[in-house]
Amino acid sequence: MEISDQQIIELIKSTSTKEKGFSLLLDKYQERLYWNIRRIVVAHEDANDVLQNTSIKIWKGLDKFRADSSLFTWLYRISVNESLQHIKQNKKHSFFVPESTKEVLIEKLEADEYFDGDDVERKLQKAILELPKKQRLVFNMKYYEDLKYEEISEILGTSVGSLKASYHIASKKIENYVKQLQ
Amino acid sequence: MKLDKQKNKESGFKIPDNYFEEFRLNIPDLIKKKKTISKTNHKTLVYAVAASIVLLMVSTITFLPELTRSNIQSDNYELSDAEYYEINMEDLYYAFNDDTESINTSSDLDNETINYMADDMDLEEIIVLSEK
Repeated sequence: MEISDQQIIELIKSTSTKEKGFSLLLDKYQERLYWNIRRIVVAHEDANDVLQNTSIKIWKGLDKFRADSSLFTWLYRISVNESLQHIKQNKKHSFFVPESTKEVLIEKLEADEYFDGDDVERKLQKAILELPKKQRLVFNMKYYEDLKYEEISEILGTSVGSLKASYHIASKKIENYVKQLQ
Repeated sequence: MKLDKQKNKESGFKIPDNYFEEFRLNIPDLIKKKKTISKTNHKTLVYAVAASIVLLMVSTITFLPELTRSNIQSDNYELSDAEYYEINMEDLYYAFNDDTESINTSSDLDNETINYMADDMDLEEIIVLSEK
């Protein structure tokens, strides 16, 4: 039976059980965190690095976690922040023409040995990478993880109405983009 | 192409075999290592700053007569102003260390939020507005 967030929070509050609580927290959430990170940074090696950094940030932040937000949204906020930081830090800068984030990520998609999607999946991922940053985040969380708008709102600090609109527009853009490629 | 509405949609992304199991095993070592490294860096920095201050003081004392000697001696001559470098060690420490405490998603997200969308707007109204 899966441990509840409340039980995890109780364990991490106490010094003697903090490590056990952290371990159970990772057991419960590491896969979901990984896939959230992976869809942002694209390449597996980068996702691995970000997941490590995220785990360390979570460990360091456990004492400060106030339970104002749910454990889940707190973890996701950290993973989103770490992912975006990673992308920013790793953008290559050509002397003449700085590469955009989109270009860097498309290159990573093409080069990633852990991407073996078929033609449709490849087009879909490229279409997602064409989206503005926020629409991409919203789309990934809604389409792939089926998070509720209220949860996404807590994670990103955006109103539910804006999120609904972002998701709808992102979906339309992706469909149009893929149609153009066909 | 219509986007698939089913859950657990294939996305083409794969992972190495046993990735999560191995990741879990490595995390305790990773966390302990990070803590040790940051403490070592702190001590090294403090010692380095202290040594620099001592050297600065010694060199100032040694060369002070040279620095203040003047060809024209007057009754009212004053020592040349000395610059005092006030070093706050705590400030230096934090300057060299990343701030690992802040979690602020808003600064990393651009302002493409569609601000004209009110929560209670009908989705169809929103679509019409966005297509203008």
